[in-house]
Amino acid sequence: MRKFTDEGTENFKTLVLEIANLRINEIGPEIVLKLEALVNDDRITIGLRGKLENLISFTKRFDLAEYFFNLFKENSDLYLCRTESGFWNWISARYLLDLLHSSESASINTRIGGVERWVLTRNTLRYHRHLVSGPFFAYEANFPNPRNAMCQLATNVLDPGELVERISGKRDLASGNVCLLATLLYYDNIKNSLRAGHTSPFGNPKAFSRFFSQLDRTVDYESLSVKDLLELLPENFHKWKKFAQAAIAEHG
Amino acid sequence: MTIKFNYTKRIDLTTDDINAEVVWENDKYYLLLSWDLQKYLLEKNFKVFVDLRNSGTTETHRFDLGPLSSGIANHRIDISHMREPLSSRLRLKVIDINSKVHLIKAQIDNFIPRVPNSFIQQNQSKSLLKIIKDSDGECPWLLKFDSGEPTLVISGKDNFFYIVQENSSLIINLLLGDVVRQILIWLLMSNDFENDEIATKWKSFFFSLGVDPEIFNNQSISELSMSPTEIYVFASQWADVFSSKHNFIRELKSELAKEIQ
Repeated sequence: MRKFTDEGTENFKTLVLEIANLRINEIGPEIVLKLEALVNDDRITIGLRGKLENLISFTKRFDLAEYFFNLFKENSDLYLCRTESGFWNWISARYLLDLLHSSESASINTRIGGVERWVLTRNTLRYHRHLVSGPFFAYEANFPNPRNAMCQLATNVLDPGELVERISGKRDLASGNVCLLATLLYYDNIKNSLRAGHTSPFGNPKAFSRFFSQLDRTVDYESLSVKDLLELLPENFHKWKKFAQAAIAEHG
Repeated sequence: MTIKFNYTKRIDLTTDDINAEVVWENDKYYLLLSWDLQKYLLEKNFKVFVDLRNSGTTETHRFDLGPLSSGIANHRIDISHMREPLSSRLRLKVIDINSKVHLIKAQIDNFIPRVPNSFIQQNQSKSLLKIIKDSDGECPWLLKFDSGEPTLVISGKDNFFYIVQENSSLIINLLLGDVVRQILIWLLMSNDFENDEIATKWKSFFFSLGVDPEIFNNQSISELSMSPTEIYVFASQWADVFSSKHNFIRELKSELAKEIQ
């Protein structure tokens, strides 16, 4: 395993900017060689003690997050590296092509995507979009109950989706009882997937995020129970509230 | 005309009401937090919560600091588990937990704790600001930007540079505010950087101070919505924030008092 220096991250960022609009089938040998050269260049990477499994086997965000969580538990050196963007960016670079090809929804038309998906961007609006670190931070923030964050972890690694954008993208929603509420509303525990139609009006994740942003000025919703939060939700969420009410009734 | 409504009578606390500082002790980071809210006559059973966030990331940690009680408190919070303890901002809330919806009765947001002086560090890695000697310089000190790196140039004439080294706290506290001001102006007014790595490190420094990262996303000065005059004013304001955070005036007075004695 290795991690990028600042220069390594910058070089990787430059490469991603070059290829961001390319489709999978447009990635030629030249780009493959450039990536390989980057991740193995001693001048811009630093060696780490530890070994990484091929991330190709983790298609779901939860599985990827859990893998990293356990890896850090066993290796304290790597645990410290989790704070460094160079660490995550090296992993992105090393497995960029594998992750692209492994996606269940990948096709020849799938594009690499924005730079913030691959290069950890120090910006409150974009930090969560990193495909490799995003799931781990959501898992860590909700530990010891990571399944409370399935609203952020149920989707595929390459296709986080709208709910992840709305919940992970807001610090105050990304953990605690509000995060659990979003999971109860939009995540189907039996099917292990997000509920069909969750992004359509009414009571969709955008409305959820907006509602709590308004409430944030005057209510400390983080200290409320899930049951109390559910009662606070306005009527336009009624379609999803029944699922959450059933889950609370069943599990308490 | 702007009219402000305050239906819940939420009190906006001021920076005079609380004190926060990040310290490094016994290989750990601690947040030292204290407040005096007596004058607001809030209920003793209201609860105090603090949310600590990292600027530029999505990390946040919440701490339950118990009942408000007398309105005066001191807390020492271990924040070593945070990814970037030195880049935190806090939101302190006083909550009426007896109300059904847990109303916020008083709060302060985006409060930046004082952090260890990044330039003169006793037990951490090398400082961000490069300092060199100019053997023949007539000017006691200058900030230069040769090779794309802000460099504090201290004159070496008449052993001045070594005198500065001996009295680094006094001298550095005196000029750092303006150094920070000049560097921010340089970051905002440069169309491109000879050394991107150094520029990025300085931008990270200003993020940790509280400057909005978005302001650095413009490709050139022409894209900024600020005139040069406004940039100078903006930079002066952040020099004030930086100086206030490190209590330079208090430190200088203390050093000078020792000299007099």
